[in-house]
Amino acid sequence: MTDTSMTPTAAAPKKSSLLVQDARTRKRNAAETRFRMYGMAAIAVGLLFLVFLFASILRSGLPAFTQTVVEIEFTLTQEQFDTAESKMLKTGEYQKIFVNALTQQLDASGLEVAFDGKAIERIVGKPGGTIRSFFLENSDRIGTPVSFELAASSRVDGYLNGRITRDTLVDSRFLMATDLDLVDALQDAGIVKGAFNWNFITGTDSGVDNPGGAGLGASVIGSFFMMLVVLFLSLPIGVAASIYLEEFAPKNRWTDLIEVNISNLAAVPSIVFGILGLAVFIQFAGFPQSAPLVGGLVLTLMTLPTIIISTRASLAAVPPSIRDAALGVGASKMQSVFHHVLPLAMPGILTGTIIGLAQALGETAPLLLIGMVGFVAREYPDGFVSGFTDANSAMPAQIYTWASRADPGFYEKAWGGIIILLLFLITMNAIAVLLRRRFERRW
Amino acid sequence: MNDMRIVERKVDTNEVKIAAKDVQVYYGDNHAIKDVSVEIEDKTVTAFIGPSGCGKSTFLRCINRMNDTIDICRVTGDIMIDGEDIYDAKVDPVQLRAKVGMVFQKPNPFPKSIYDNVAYGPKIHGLAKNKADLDNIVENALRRGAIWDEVKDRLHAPGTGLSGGQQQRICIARAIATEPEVLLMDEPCSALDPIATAQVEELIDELRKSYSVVIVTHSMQQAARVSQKTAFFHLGHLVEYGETTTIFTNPVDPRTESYITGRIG
Amino acid sequence: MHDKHIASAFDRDLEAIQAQIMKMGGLVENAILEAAISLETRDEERAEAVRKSDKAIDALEELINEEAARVIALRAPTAIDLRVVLSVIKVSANLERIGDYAKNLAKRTGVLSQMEPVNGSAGALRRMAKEVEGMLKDALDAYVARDAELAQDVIDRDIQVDQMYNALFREFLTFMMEDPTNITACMHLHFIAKNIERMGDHVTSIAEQVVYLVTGAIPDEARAKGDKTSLPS
Repeated sequence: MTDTSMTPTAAAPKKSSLLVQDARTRKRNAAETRFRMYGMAAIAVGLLFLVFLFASILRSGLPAFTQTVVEIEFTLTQEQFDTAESKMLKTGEYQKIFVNALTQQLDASGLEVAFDGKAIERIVGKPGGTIRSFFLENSDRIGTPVSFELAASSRVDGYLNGRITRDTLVDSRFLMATDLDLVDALQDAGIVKGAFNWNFITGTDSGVDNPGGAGLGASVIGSFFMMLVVLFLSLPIGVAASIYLEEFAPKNRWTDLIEVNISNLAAVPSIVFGILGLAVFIQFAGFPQSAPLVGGLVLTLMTLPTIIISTRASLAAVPPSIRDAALGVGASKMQSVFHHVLPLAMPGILTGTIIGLAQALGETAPLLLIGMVGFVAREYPDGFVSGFTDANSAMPAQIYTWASRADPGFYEKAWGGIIILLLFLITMNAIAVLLRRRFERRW
Repeated sequence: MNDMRIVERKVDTNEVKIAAKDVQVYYGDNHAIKDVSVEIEDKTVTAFIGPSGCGKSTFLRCINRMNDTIDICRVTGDIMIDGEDIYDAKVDPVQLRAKVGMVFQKPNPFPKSIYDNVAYGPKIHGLAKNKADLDNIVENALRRGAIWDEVKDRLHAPGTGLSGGQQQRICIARAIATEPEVLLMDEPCSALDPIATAQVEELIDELRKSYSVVIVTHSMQQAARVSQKTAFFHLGHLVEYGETTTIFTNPVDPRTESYITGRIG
Repeated sequence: MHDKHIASAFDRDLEAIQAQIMKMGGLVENAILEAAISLETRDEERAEAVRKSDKAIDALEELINEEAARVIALRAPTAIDLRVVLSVIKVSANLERIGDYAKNLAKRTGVLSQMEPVNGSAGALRRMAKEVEGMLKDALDAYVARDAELAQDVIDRDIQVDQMYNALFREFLTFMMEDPTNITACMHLHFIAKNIERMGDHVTSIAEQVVYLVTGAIPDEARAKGDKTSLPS
């Protein structure tokens, strides 16, 4: 009945309006919005972890930079000096003199806490040696008032940092509960206070029982010499190898083999390089153990693949039109590479090198195997050459050593070391970014 | 009636500058250029035309041995410039390229100053005795390249900061700074707008008084405007070579006619 | 024939202008025939029609010129395409002149119909006109077929037209010397003969264009100049 035949007057399909989104577009837009949300959520999670990481590092490590000091002024008479020098246990004498002086000062200040000499020793530690060295060097100050700022014992330091609380304290020969009252009183009196711990940055590692005196300075120097070796060896060798591989090597199976091996080297675990260094440089070639020179050589081997790979990428990124133009004007292959391609690839090469150096700075495993462990960093090297050959440690290894010691005082030193290491790394990466921006070229 | 013909288009018979004989070029197994023999004259503009992939750029690059940089490329046959075989073992391609200049399709000035761009060639070939000499060479080249007036106040600005047409003229100035005898141009105007193209073509017309110019071009109108002799390549063969007027009004080979009238690709 | 252009619009343009030429040629052939018939039959109406149709021929020539200029500007034709366009321009100019002569012929019908017919002239003129019309038809056929041989044949036949003109010229002179009352009529008839001879020359010109189109060379100066009337006898 219904005439279903198409009549000529049937309307053509209605044209859709651009102002109305159809269902497909809506779905697609919704999917894209969701995807953007996922992305932002992922970034937020990452940032959250980063914030958490930095917060915990700072919280644990900042206390390492403050040192509790005892400020005291006293006069050493010539008599006391002569008496002390004549005894056998000289530092012990100075200790006694110091404690007496302090006791007198405390009495004079009207302290209302009970104390005795032993308590004072537990609080202020044993600065006898320091006092003695000072007066030996500055004998003209004998008889005049001298003000000393002496480091308090690490336990007191811990108490003032919050590491040790009255609840967690276990009475020992290092610190007793009653001492804490004294410490509070001293703090109120202004004799005990916190000061910036320069020694942490400039000093050397200290013995196992002296966390307070531990310093990162020697390790920084050790790292510095190591980085010099890495820079001056890996940069020329890496760049030269890359230039050869990229520009001059014939494309045959040998070259392919070399390229594959270089990529593989980049993936070798760092501890393998440590074993290599131990076997070849120390045992076979007889280089001094724990020397930054050996550490530098090992890290050069590790950094070379990174530098070669990034240099090759930079060289390959130079457009072939530049090479053609140079050749067309009559430059030889070498001239075109050195006058044109290399300067244009330089930003990339520098960036790659700095990143490689930053990675090397943070390597720990190979250094442990060649002996650059923390406790070795006891003194500063004497001169420039001995900076390479004297036994020393590097920052990451030093941190590792501190973290593995029993004394909880070293724990915060380890975190403090991490803060310094991170500062170095951030600075180096910032320099890389800056250099890249400055030298970026348009072609 | 023949003596009443228009004489301006008459080409002086010039000496042969480049003589190619039975040249074959192989890319691996691909036989790209087959049995090409041609004599290119001095002080003349010779155009190479032909469809894409016919081998004209490949043959052009044989003349200054730029194909040497491609490992899988093999060239046989003779190419003589001024009677000397340029593929002889004694010939150093670097020296050859000082004598045979090249301008590329996309302007490619070095990312250095304009002065350094033009001075680079003379410097590495030791053509300048001192700084004043070099300054002279640079100025001459820029004048002959019809770009001196536009850049004389900013010789130390980067070469990449100019318009396309200016960059191409800098590249031409760079090529002629080494006092070549032959100038090879591989589609020099294909990246330029019509005004820049016209400026470069005018320049080519000037240059032909001093050099032998070989230009590869996709535009037949350009070949017709700019050249005195034209060579038509097709599938690696040199199909026809003759005076430009003849090729465009009454070509001999039907393949040539088909190509220039737009009947085949 | 050659292959098609890759740009088919180019082919269409060239075909269009050549079709116009063919149309123009047809109109001109018709005009010659009609003019000759009207002359013989003294048909004034026919003559008027011929005169009017010349406008269409002129309009076509203008159109063809415009189209040719357009093709040159937009397509930059080369080689054979260029010769096609150039020849079209020249052929249309020649056709237009032939058409004008045909109109001229028709104009004189009116005058002649007032006078006594001259003996034998009608037949001779008819033969001449037929010959020229035949030449034009062959020349246009040669153009379409790109037949250089046929075109060369047309060029060679022009000499016969010239000879016919020579004969008529002497005849008219004789008539006029015999009987001065014939002078007016013979003068008109002479002009008619001259017009037909000029038509023949223009057809020859068309045939020469065909040769140029096919071979790329203008045929030699050896075109026969059969008209000896201007030379001292």
